[in-house]
Amino acid sequence: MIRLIGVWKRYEEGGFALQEMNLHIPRGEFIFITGPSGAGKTTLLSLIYGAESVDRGQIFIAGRNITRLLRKDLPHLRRGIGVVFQDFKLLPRRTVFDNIAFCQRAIGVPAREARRRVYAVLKLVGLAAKRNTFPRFLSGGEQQRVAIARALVNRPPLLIADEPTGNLDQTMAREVMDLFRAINRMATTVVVATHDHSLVEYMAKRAMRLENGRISDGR
Amino acid sequence: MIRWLQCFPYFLREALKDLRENAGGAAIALGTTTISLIFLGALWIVQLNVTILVESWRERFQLTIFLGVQATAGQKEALRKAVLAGAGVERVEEVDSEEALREMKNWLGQDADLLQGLDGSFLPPSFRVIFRPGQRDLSHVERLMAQVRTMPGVERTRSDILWLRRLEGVIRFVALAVWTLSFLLSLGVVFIIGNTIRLTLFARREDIAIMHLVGATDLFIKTPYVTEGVLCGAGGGLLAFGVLWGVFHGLFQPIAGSVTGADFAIQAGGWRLILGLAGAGAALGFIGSAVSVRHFLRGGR
Ligand SMILES: Nc1ncnc2c1ncn2[C@@H]1O[C@H](COP(=O)(O)OP(=O)(O)OP(=O)(O)O)[C@@H](O)[C@H]1O
Ligand SMILES: [Mg+2]
Repeated sequence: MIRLIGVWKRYEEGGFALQEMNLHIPRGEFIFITGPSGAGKTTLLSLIYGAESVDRGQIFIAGRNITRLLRKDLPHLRRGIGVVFQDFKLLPRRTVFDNIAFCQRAIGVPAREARRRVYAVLKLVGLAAKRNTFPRFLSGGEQQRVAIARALVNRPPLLIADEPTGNLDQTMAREVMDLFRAINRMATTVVVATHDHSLVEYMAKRAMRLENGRISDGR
Repeated sequence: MIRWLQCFPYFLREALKDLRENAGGAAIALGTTTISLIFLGALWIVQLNVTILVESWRERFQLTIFLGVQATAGQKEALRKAVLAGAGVERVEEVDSEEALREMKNWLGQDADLLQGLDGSFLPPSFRVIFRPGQRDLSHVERLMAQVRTMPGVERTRSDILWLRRLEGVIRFVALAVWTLSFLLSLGVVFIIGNTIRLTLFARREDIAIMHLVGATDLFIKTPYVTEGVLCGAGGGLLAFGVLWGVFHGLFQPIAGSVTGADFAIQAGGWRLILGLAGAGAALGFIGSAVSVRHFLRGGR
């Protein structure tokens, strides 16, 4: 599903965020990416969904070399990837429902179908009752669940989550993980970046540790 | 493309929502667009009426060939043939002395009794040459004039050629002025709407970033904003028409009617003006917003 070959990434100011990264994530896998703050986890994920471009090396997603992707082909790649952003990226002027429906309409899903899907996914994350609330009136955990709902609404073959449990208590975090596990069982590849080792232990899935932009421990 | 069409209600709703949320900016854009298009429409009306006026003058304008009193039937026939062969000539009317007298009396109106007791023999018979519409220009008239002047039986020719020459200068000037001003006004509208959309895009940058991240195509991202520009422009066009119509029928026409009399009725352009203004507004709004959106999307991914 995902293959990185000799990937280097350096931001304009500062050192290398990723160095000589080689990685293979097979289809249907559930993998954690761990590592200290600043290790390059978010950078790695944003290379995968094409928000940043690599300096050197190749990235293949579902067999396509996305480092050679034209701008006009980017939307197609992204429709197949659900992303839970570390900072949620919810729209403050739209309700919970609209935050998700908006993303559906923006990729051309008809109104009725979008409404159906949004209800279903909100029920899945337990937020159906808060659908008409604006994000600023939600707790951090609730906002996080909206972000998760938005990533899931398209039923993407690849789910990428950056610290999806950072604001959740342990019970809620485990519920989210159980949800991810269920999604993973439905043939979705799941990549989760996290600091939280208890989660990794709880899930007992493959984990890969990043340090200073390199893989320091990959199992 | 089909997707895009199916989603049009959504684009429209997003555009209207944006306009509502940014009512102040939208009102300013709409207002300035309306004012610009009022001027544009007024210019069109001026040009339309100058054209109509000039055409009606040209209609009346003819080349008159005065014959000698003793011109023979053969000479007349030759002359008629020569004239009809001339470029742009539609027809020739022969005006004999009696006819000329009648016309003169007509023209004198109440003073016609000046001519009391005269017969027409003091008025020379003439040929009146009428040119085809669209060919009533100087070169044709001048050429024909030069040609027939020397023919036997012809005494002299007359044409308001200087008048016409001046008139054509005026037409050209009016056309140039109208085009220049229209261009500048259009540029203004493009700029105003483009700028409004630029501000909207800036206010919506988070939405747009999210749209990109969830895989919206540029077309889907652009359309609501371009729609917004088109709505603004077309709305301004319709408002401008409303204002012009009101001014024209409520104010201008009664006054102008009493001044120019039956001679010449000023026209407003009717349906063509509505379509023209709304269409021009929409097109300018499209250009302005499309440029802004393109510029914005080029800036980041
Ligand atoms: N947009 C950016 N511009 C410049 N440098 C950046 C940018 N984003 C990240 N970096 C740098 O790249 C390195 C890796 O950052 P990254 O965000 O990938 O770390 P992370 O593992 O996600 O950390 P965290 O656990 O705190 O989220 C850091 O040194 C960071 O300072
Ligand atoms: Mg991070």
